[in-house]
Amino acid sequence: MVRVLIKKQLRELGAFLFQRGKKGTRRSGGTLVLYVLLMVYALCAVGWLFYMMAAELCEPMVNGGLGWLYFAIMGIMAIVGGVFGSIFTAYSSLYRAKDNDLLLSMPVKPSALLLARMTGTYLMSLVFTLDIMVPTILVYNIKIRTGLWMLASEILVTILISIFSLTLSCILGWIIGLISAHLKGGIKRFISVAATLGLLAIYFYVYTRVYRYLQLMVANGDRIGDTVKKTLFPVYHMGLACEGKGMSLVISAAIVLAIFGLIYFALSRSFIRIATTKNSSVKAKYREKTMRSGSQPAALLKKEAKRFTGSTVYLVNCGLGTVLFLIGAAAVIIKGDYLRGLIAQITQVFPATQEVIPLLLAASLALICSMNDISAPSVSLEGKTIWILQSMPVSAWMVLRAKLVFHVLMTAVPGLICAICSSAALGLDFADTALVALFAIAFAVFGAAMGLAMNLKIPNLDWVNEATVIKQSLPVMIGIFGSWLAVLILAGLYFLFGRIMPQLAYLAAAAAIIAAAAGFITAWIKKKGTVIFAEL
Amino acid sequence: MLRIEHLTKQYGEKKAVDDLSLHIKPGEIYGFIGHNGAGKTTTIKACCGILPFDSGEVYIGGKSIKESPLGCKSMLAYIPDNPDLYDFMTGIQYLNFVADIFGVSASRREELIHLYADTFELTEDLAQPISAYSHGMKQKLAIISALIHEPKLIIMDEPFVGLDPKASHLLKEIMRKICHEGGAIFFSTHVLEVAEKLCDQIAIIKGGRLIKSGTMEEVKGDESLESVFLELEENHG
Repeated sequence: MVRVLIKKQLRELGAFLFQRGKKGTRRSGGTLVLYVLLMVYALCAVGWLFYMMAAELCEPMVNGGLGWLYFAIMGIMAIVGGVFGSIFTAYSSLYRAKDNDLLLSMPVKPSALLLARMTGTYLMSLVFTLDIMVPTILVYNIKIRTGLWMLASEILVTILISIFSLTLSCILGWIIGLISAHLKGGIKRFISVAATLGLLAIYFYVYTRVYRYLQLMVANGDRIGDTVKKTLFPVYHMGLACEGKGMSLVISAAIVLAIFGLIYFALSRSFIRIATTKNSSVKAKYREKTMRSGSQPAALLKKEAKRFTGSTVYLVNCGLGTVLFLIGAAAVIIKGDYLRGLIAQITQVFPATQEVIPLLLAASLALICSMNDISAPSVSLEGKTIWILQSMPVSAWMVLRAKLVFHVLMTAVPGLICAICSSAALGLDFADTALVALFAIAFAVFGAAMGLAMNLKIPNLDWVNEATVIKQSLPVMIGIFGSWLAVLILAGLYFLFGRIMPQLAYLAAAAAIIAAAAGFITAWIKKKGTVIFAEL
Repeated sequence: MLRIEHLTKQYGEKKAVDDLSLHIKPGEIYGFIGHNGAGKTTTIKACCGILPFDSGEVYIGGKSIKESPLGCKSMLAYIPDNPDLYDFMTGIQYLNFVADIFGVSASRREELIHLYADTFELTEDLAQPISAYSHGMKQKLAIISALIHEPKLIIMDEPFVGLDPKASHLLKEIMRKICHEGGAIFFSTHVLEVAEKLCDQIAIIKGGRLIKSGTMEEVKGDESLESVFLELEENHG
């Protein structure tokens, strides 16, 4: 039975990858290749960061007889990475699948259903674990020659780490399930957003200091090793297991599998209760109020805003740029003196830097713009409700325009605030400030148009869980990577033409190129995209 | 009010609707009957401008749905068989959204929402998110949203599925009232007793082709609609 359920779970994933739209036709080979390439690129980019970290730690630690600590540290990172990769979808994948009622009405054991649900979460956790452990093992095997048994041990520990990450994600998913049953939607969303932003803040904090921590770890390896040995013996054995110590491998496996078994047993017992729980918060009663009428564009824009703010997954994954713009604006105001001092120091050593400051600022703003991909899943998110807009007396262009405008408002307005604050903090003159702001606005429109166009070309209205179209869909990935590519191309062009063009003129040209691209894509949406939307 | 002329819609090789022609006049309740997969939903979606069709024409109030889709859509209301509504809105937000799109004035929407929400006993729940609604409540909300912009034509796909007996009864009364006031209703159903009691005209479709249409008397004569339907199904097998 478990095998049938897991097959169904994998088929669901396969359908998402290989099939398109309600007609169920297979995706074209090109689309699939593009998807795989983007996934590989994203994984390689993250994997490269961990490769560099591993390279920093490996040799000094192994030379100091602390090879096990190297694996222990990287292993802990892999556990955190695995949990980070699957936590955001754990609750919805485990407990909120749309076919829960159907499967629970069949002679299916809740434990079997839970195990099948865990497969999806496990795959996410495994991908993130591998992204850290593969570079770890690679660095170790390049720098220190090892045997086949040791390599096998490292692979086995990697599998154990992914199972442990899954276990932690399931525990967190379970806690979210328990809490969310007693909270109102608004409070639930607020807590989720705050928790996600908190996690990201920790991530950025650690990320910016990672090399200092690595150096500290290398310098204090003996002391850290002693502490870990005394207080975290499972971590110690995990490290030793990677170095091929058989007994440590057995101990690690026993601990991980015992914890997984225990948690699986506990979650199986509460699965039906949580999966079928309706929100028990007090229901609000409607009180009649004086109503106000609004225009069609305003109604459509309000609808987009409600869709965005009504979903934590959408809000957190596609609206991070807005938050970063506002935090950035506040940060540059608070740290203005420090920034100016830093720039003065740099320009003393490299006077040419002064000229490229507006360009660097514009590029930074563009990169933050790319973190807002609100429009990229917006067509897919219509899902089974698409009939509402299609049966209403509104043109497809009006609907799509509302999606574009909402994205632009959410990106360009905070982007403009950040551009002005940053320019003021950096002491840019009016012309530079105006061009930086124009560039940021053009990039916001470009991002909105590209994301929407991609979603019209590759829509998915048949999702079971909205997280799949928000987090893992091709339009979202193309939206983000396409924006990065645009910044890279503009940077490349600067190296080609920067010498013959003053930076002010280059920035103006770059803003014009991006604005033209945005205009071209918007015109395509108006002409072809509207036809696609009407026929979805 | 609704004129379907030689409508044909093909999915690949398969003709879902084949040369279908119907005429629904103002003041008429027109029932659309057929087995599962007969082409009812395809026809309905084509009439609402949701599904493009290969050939033929659909006119609403004299306007072609192909030439003037927005003009046609502003005259009609569509209620699907499965009311998938915006889960991220509350009931009242959804009704206001629909009212804004159809340009219903503030005072008129206030009056009509009050009237229909009370009729379907949904007033207290309008502040709830639609995600918390049961299937029946969603169906009621979809019906209210269709009524608040006072359409001249209502097209419904299996409107009685999921409704409790009281709500079904109320809906039938409202349907009659709308037709008395000059509106028209075109709906599909599997419940032949409902069609028999409610409809002025019916059409029976099989394999995308119209096999019988006319007034209730013309179609069934002295027999029950059920026996006529089964007989026609067999003869056209």
